[in-house]
Amino acid sequence: MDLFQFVARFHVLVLHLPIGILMLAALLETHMVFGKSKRPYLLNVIWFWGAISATGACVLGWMLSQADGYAADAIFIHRSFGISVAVIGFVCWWLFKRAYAEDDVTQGQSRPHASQPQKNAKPKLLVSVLSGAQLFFLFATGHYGANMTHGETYLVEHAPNLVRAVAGFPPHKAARPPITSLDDVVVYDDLIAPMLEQRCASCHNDSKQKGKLNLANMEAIVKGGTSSNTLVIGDADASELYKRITLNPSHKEFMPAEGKPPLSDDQVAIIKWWINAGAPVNERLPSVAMEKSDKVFAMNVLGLSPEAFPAIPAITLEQANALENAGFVVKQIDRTNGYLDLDLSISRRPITAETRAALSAVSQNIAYVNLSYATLSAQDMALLSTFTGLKRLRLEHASVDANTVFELSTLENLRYLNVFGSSVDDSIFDVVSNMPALEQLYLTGTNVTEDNVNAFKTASQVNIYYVAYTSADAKSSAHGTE
Amino acid sequence: MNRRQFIKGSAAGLSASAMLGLSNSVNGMNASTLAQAKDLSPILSGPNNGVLGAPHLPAKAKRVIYLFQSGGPSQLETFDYKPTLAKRHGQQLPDEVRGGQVLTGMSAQQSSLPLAKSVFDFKQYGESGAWVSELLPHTSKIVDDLCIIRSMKTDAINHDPAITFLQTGFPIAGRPSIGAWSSYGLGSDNPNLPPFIVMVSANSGGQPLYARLWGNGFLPSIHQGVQFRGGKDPVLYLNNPPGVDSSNRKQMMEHFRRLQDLQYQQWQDEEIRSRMAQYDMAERMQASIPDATDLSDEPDWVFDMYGEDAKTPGTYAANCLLARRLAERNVKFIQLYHQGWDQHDWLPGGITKQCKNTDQASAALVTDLKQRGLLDDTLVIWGGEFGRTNYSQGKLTEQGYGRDHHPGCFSIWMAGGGIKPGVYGETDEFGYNIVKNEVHVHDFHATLFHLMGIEHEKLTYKYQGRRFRLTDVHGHVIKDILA
Repeated sequence: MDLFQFVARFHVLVLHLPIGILMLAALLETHMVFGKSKRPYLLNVIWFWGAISATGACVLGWMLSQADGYAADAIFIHRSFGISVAVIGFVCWWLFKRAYAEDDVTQGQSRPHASQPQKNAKPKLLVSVLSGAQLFFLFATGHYGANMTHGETYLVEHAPNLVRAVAGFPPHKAARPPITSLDDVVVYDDLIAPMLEQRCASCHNDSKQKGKLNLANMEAIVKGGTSSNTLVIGDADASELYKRITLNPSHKEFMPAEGKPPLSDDQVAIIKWWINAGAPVNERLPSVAMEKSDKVFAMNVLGLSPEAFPAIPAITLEQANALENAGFVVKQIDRTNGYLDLDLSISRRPITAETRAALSAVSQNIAYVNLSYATLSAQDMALLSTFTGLKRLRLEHASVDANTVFELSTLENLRYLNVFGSSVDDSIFDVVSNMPALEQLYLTGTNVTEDNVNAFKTASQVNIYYVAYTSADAKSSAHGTE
Repeated sequence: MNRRQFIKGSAAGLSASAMLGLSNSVNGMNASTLAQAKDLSPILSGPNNGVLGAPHLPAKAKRVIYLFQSGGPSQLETFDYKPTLAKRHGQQLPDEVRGGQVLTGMSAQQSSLPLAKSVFDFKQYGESGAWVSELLPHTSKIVDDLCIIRSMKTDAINHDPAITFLQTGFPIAGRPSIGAWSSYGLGSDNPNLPPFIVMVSANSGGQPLYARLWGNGFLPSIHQGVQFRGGKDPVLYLNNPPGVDSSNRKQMMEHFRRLQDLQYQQWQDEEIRSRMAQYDMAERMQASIPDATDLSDEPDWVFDMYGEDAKTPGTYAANCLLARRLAERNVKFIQLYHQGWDQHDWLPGGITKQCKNTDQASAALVTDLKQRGLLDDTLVIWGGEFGRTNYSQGKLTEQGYGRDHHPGCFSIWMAGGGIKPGVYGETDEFGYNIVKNEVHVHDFHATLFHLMGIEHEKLTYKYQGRRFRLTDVHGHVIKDILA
């Protein structure tokens, strides 16, 4: 228990009294000297108590400054202004009291003549200068005091760039352009900083620094926190930054602490890669050595992996109903985005103008579609080619052949294509060789020839599934339509 | 009338929609789903979309086929090759290996616990170099499609609690089964078939199975598994009775619906609605079941793959083929059971027969799904409820040795839907304790749900004052085996 500091902390309460009282005094005084009405004697009392409260705040403030934790120059400037407030308070009290003293005496002695117009000129200059000075010192004291508690950036954190420039702060960081490929990635700004901002910055930023660690910029990360080995460039295992995020989550030194959401496995892997790669900052990714697996981690962190779905709004209830009325089983891929998984193979409803209208209304939302057993016109296939987000397309036993399959060649995100038991022939290889994302291709039971399957297998990365049953065999496995 | 019914009945004056909003079971907006404020609220909230409306994350496995090998297949005769047992054949199980493990009443009284080697040969197969025994010639050909987990662990040592644990996440009866949770959370991808279908091999016997293994527990009864019969007609009474045509049927159902609705107005009991939904489903199944179960359109090469058994309705092989047909029709959870893996004695003969009845069809199912492009988003699981001891129960002889129940380690495999093929986990040289990458049953459930797009901690149901989930308060997703 420290009674001295207990009392000192009342500074934070008492300081509001001079702010209120002296500001009121200065404004009233100015109002009176320029206005027509008479200056009330009460103003002397207000000035006096304002100055007294300022003195009290000064004393308590000095006591508070005896405790550790405040920068000396911050205290100096706040203290200087604070003492000035108290001094000017007393000066105003004394001078204004004198300046108006005759009035008061005259008025007091000659009440019968009170209605006579006031002859004496009011002390306009004196009041303007002193009241103005008092207001200036009040605000200055308050500002520097607030800087000590909230941090210097608090006031301008959300200020427009013009204001920041005037106050001597750098302009806000420009938003990074959206990343569409690993080649565009600036290592620190695009890959590392957003992760730290997302998972670490709430406790380790410019103004709040748990463990004396700031992770808001590269200089601060290099400087480190209480332990000096926050970042051991080139050695992730020796770096606290990596060690702390890989402990057992129940360990008391695990970060993020207090059950805050931890970094994902991909993010942890990227931190490791970054430290071991020498903690590059302004380099672009292609100029930094990267294993294939690290590239996958980076793609995942940046949301670029082929598995990832960029955010897209959900379709409306009316659009969903239209699809269901056309015979589709309609599913949303997951709860966080609006991609659809559509299946017409259950109802096997014929495709009509309504079906096409319902589909084209949501064409950007379709990620998976199952049109097995469907009869597909050239028009339907052309519609399919507009589903730019399509990843999986099932056309088992569907009426698709050499004349219509070429429409699919524009599907640049297609990962999975299944034409099992359909009538496509070797012309499909021309179509799929233009599909950059294709990984899986199912051709069993079609009219392709084994030679061409084998030729394509050697020429491409696509996994082809083809078993040479006779196509009559495979076709007869088609279960009957309704 | 009990207290609950009284309260429900007296609240009947409220609008029906208000009641639905209060009910846990109908639209299911219980606290756990409401808590996910950052979610895009799924626009699809019909009964076919489950309580979640959409999965928490994109599902790698849109459907699951669980080939449950009931009785506890011996890991030491199938996937967990232990040459040390051959070296120490007949020696006593060292106490430090047993580590105080409690034994069942069947072998605890034995004066001797002699280590028993497998009489079957093991070889390495595939790129993963997985060891598989000669009992599984077909499975050994597809090891590169499988993730063989040799480090499964359970808490229960007897059949009932162990199988209940594996199927419901808790060793004591009363919890919903995995398939019921899946139906509750994700709904159905085919409105004409139940989302959870169960088939028990007719060509097997042994430890009993009971409907609660595929039951709904405290979930609404609409989520329970629907069991197909192991015979020529998997579902009986699909045809209209003589003298009753479809329009008669429709009229009857119409009146029946109105009667049930009156009951619902009075009692506000959600089970009445479940019942009505089941009647409606039965009506749709009159058309969808014959289409799904009639194997006459399957070509000969399919039967060559699955084996001759597949032509006999109700066999494991026929059920595997049926499982593929149901998967093609988007049935979400297809559960097969094959009994008879409980070889306490005369193990070599018993397990040979078991493998003969299941090996070819299990492998064929994976291969068939793969060539049809279905393995990409269908998860196939093969495994029992626990493992078997490395010592012989009863006298150790070449053909007469047996193995008792062993919860400490057992082997399963998974294939397809988001699983990374390979061999995972390791047991000690005695095949008794797990030394690397243990997968507890809770972890298995968490991983299974993850593949289905469910975050296992977020799918809950409030019952008797607390929120229940499949993994109770446990479970970690085994990320190492995700593709």
